[in-house]
Amino acid sequence: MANLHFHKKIIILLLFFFFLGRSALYAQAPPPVEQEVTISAQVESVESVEITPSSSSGSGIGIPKTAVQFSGQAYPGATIFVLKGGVEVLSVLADKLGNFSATLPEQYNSTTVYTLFAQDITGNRSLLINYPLVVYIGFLTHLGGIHFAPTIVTDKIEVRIGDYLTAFGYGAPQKDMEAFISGIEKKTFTLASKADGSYRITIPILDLPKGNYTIYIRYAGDSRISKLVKFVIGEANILSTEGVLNIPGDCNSDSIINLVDFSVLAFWYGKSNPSRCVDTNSDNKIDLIDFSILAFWWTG
Amino acid sequence: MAKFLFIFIIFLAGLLYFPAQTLAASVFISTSGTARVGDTFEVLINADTDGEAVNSVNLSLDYDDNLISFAGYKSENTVIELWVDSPHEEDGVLYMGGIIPGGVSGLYDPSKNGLSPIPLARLLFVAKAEGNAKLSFVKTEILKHDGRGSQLVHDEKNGEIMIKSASPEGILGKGENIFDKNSPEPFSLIFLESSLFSETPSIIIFHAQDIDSGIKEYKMKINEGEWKEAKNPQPIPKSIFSREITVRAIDFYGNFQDAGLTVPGFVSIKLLLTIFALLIIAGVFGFKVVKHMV
Repeated sequence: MANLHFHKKIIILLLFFFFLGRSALYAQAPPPVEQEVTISAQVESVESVEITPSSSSGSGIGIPKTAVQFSGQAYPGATIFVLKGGVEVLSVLADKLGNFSATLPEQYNSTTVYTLFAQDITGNRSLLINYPLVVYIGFLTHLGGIHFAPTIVTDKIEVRIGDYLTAFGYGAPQKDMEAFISGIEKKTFTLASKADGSYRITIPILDLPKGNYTIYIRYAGDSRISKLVKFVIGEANILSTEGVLNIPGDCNSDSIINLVDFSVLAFWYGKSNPSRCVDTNSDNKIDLIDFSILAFWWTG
Repeated sequence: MAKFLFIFIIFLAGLLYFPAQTLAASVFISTSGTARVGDTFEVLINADTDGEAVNSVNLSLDYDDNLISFAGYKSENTVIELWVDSPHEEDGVLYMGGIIPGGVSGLYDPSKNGLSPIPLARLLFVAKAEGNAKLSFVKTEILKHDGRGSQLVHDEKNGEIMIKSASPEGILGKGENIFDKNSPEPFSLIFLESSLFSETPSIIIFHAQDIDSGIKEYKMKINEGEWKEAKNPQPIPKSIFSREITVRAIDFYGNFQDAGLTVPGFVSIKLLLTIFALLIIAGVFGFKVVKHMV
């Protein structure tokens, strides 16, 4: 009986530590975002601020009274664009390591949607990243740790079975990456970017069945993915330069997804037998899913 | 001992199950809790996506229309940039659907830890009568920002607001529009001409915004014709001559803003004048030739 009592004690103790451990686990779990938002300095007035290398580019301009600062890593030599309410308000250049910092003066207490995207040195863009941010008057709000998924381009839009597909682009320097092919079957490949941020992967198309596929790149273990690039495994090789880029919903083939494409999609919303180019997921109907796919590809 | 082990297993299963439930995404309604008859008040629709990036939503909302009435929406401090279906009421149910190009995972607020819920829509209601007004979701759809439009599994949490008797100031100001006296923001029209093999007709594209109460409707007129209901995008039939198109964006309080555009026809005035001039010249020349021959 005394032995049973001992077992009970052990189990209760185990339960106690198990419960404590789980609570601690959930309490300490990091938020599912990589960015850190901090109010890093309260600025009383323009005059009171000393110009320091970290607070300005050294051009002799102080930090404004209220401001939002974005910093992180893009690609070496990339241009980072900041949009406010969909309108471009600022662009900065990244350094040789891809690091950047952009400071935007603000005036009012508000919740504002800031949109950032990076353009690599060859002109290819990342997807848009939105930051709805609460701005407080008299504070410098710093959003750090921003990173963009790599850019991606493929050499072909159709690949003959037994041939090769090459994907290339830019990312942060010397990072482990993963390339994902998905369609009828899925495959994953690993690669790494060079010191200049460039990467290139040539994939043999041998044992994948014919059909429609997409390829995307991401940093190893990261949740943020590059653009999805469509390609077909078929009978012939068709180079990307010989055809349109086939961006979903881009009916006017200008490689831009904006209000015009949204409006064309809106025209077909709820109508039967939609035009093929607006039916982004080819299910013969225009619904919220088509708008979601368009929003993913949005360039503005 | 066996009984004790059974309780232990049940407890263990509970520990594994319930934390997953509390981490689920949700869409919920926030109100100020109370309002007075005659007041215009805001109802906020938020989404906690559990850190998942989303880019599209479709919502429908039921409410006590004998206690409160829908009076518009605010785009300020919300994230939906483009409405596929702007908030509107049909048979006592509110419908809305829109997209967030680029997607969002949450609201970044430096005064709070982690991500805050995403403010999707800020709806305006007018309190009509005393009582406890309930607002409940009829249908909600949230799509992930994954390039495929995958559904985000989420919970729905309804809201309510207690409507109290009118304040003396409220009675005095009743019936007077003190809420929105401003016109919608200036906007522009884009003409997208249909190509020869396109299945989409020629359309006029527009997107107006009103900070105070939102756009309720659009009207359009061609040249000096009648105002007719319009919707973005508005198909435009082909015409021989060019036309002046005017689109009027009207907010929920009747304030409006106009935008205009000239849509080209098959035949331009210049070409017509040139043909007319050539005909006159040919006629004069022909008359002279005939006269000379006679």
